Amino acid sequence: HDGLPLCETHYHEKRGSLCSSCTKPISGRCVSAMGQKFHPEHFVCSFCRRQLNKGTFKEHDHKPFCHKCYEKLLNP
Amino acid sequence: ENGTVVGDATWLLPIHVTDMNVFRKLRVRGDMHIGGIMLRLVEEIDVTRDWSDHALWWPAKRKWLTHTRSTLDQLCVTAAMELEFTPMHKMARVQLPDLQMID
Repeated sequence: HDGLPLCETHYHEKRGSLCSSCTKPISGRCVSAMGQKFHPEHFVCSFCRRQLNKGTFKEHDHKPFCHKCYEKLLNP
Repeated sequence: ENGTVVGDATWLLPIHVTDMNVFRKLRVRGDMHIGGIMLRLVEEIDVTRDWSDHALWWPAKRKWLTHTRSTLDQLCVTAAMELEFTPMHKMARVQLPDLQMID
């Protein structure tokens, strides 16, 4: 990175490709949402923990929710 | 005291999270919805887990507060009530006609 040798974690940190959930490097598929990056399996609903698909989640207070939980908790 | 405005119509609602044996007192108001209270509760407990089977149970009235769009006022939940936040699916033991017991 910029001609400097870096360990894998710091390389990904510089590139901004660490998972916001587990803080480990993302080498395979990556979900970008809410200005953060996630392993697809770590981008989950904050209430039921089920995996979310980018574009079909709802956001509240910088946390992602599935539609079902959002309806239940946040949509009176 | 504690930065609380006297007469702001809020009160403390005690909630027992049964399967974790955790007690929390949430400052609530009568126009707050059940869903919002559940969300605030799990945010306060701050444990990452699947909460989807949990719901609020009102022991004194023996009823589930599953209509999450209702407010405390609509359900007549008032001060001095204790609620439980508990899984809706629990273990049950059933005795069959042949007297066999199953869980």
